Amino acid sequence: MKAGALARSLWHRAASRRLSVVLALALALYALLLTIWAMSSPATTVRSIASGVPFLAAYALLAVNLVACSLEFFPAVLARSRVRGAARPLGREVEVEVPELGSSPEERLSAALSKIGARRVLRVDGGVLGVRSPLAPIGSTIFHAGLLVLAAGLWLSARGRVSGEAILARGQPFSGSPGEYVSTGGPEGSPPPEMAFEVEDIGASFFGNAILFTDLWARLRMADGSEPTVRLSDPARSGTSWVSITGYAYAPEFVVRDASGAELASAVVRLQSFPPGQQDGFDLPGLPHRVYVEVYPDYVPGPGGQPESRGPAPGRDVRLRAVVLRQRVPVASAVVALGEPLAFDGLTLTFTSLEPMGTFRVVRDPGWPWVMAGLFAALLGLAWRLVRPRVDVFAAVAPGAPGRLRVRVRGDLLPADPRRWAERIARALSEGA
Amino acid sequence: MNLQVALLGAAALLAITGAALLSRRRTGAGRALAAAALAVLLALISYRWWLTGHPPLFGTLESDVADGAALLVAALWLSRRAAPFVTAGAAALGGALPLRGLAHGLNMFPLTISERSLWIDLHAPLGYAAFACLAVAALEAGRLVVSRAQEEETGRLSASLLWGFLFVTALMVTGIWYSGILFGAFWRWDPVESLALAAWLSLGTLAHARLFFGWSERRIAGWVLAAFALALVLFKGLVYLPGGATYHVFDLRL
Repeated sequence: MKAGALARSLWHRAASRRLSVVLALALALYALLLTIWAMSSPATTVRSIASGVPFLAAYALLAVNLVACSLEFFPAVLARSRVRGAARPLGREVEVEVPELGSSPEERLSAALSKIGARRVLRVDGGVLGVRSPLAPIGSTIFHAGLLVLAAGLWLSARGRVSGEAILARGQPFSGSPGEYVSTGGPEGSPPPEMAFEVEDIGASFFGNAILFTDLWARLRMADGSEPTVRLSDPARSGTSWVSITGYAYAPEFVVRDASGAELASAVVRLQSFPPGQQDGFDLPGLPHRVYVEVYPDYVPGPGGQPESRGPAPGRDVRLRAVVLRQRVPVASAVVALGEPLAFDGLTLTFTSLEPMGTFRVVRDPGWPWVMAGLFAALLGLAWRLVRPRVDVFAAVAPGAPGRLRVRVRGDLLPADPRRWAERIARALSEGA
Repeated sequence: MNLQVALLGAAALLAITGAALLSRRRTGAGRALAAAALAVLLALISYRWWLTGHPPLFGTLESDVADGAALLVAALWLSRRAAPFVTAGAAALGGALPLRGLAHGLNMFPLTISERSLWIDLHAPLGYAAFACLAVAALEAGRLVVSRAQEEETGRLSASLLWGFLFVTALMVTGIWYSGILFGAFWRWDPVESLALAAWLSLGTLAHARLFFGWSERRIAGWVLAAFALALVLFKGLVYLPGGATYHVFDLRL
């Protein structure tokens, strides 16, 4: 086979609608299998299966098929939109009584067809052809182009998305340097997202005393001076990056003093301290001690004197259970209120305040503008195609019967009822069109 | 008796009686009862909205009540257009579906921080519309599968299928976008995503079969039922998956 013939054969195979259907069904089957895998395997395993060679081959083939089909069929779609005649054989003919149309029936029929929604009207074959929504089929091309842009965006996103989590208390700045993130994810060797801001305030609301957030927000001061309020569902964007608040905890501020009252160390510590009673620890700077803390933001004594919290929101009586260890040996342990010193090894540890703290997720995703454009185009194209589909209506005066109209129609997507259209034309004519 | 249970029972009774009348071509009385059932469900939705402060988009009961209302709207709209089997089926399903939600509790909770978004306010109603369209398509397909009479194509199956496809597409568009906001990733192969993709591809394939290969409505009817079975798992089956398999289950046990 010659190279040209081979290329044509390959092209026709690539642009086959049958291939589209086979690939779509194969992907549907893959997706179902992934659903079953997800019942028994962790999400990371499912994601690695979904990015395996068989899946990638199916995605790639479908993308090639989409491109080939779009290029192959777009000229025909475009040609159809320039109405030069009825697009395809029209349906069965019906007749309807109309007022006599006089010496220029085509003019009156054209006016009637325009009145009932035909955007293109032309005289053909002794009658008049009116076409409603002649450009609707272009919606298919927009839809499929949108899917390609979406696929490109998802690919870019999967290859280049980098995310990082930072834990910050109220008043703390963040410059986006790698050391400030507690965890990062993304392609190996990629630097974490760069985004600078300062946490001006953090707030949370709960459903009664339950661990159910009804609001969680943080007001940030961005590098450009703006002060957005971010939420989990409402991030602040800067270029291809965005930041949102995903978690909440309590950050105790402490001070350590020696016997003379001199301050040896103080800081706001970032802890995994949520929900109330969750234990986490921190090292005292410059000292051989580690402190384990549980926060009870709305203290109430529980059974056996154990501390409990009425709910997760800070109340009037904030208490902390602190255990101080030196070289893994407990040297002090107590439930203390804010401002109440805990003595150990000739020193005192005092928690002076409880600051709200948030977990912030910063994401840099080079694919998101493409994903947004692709989603929008796909939806727009499909709506354009489906909401008001093309209908070709042909009307002509019956030979020798000036008061009878013959009507034939063809719906592009759905069967069109010729009787209904004939009646609409008759009504438009009788109303003076 | 609990007011909500009473309202659900009344809606089911009205809708199923209305469906029986619609199936016997007593359209006027059937429509009136279906409309009354819809009014009762809307009253229930309003009551819960008033108490919780948010529209019905939280848990299984709320989605079943909203889907039931959407089906009753479809039944009313179709009652002068579609076959009695389809209209009556939509009305009966619309009344019965909310009863399933009862099994998942009447508890009312405010929206959590992941659900407080205009994207969710858009996403959930698109889901209700998609479910109603696909259920109507399945009823029409079921009628075609059972019926042996030769009849001219009405386009009702195609119309409900294509509108269902449009709404499922819009549902996925809003879901993908919100997943990017919520999780920092647009697609994570969660079961809800995999199932939605499988259902969307099946519906798209049927649309191609109809539009490009000229398959008749009778020929695609069996396939529409299979695609609806997939959609049914997507819309109503996630709650029965093993615990933690998907994030897309919103019934709270506090």
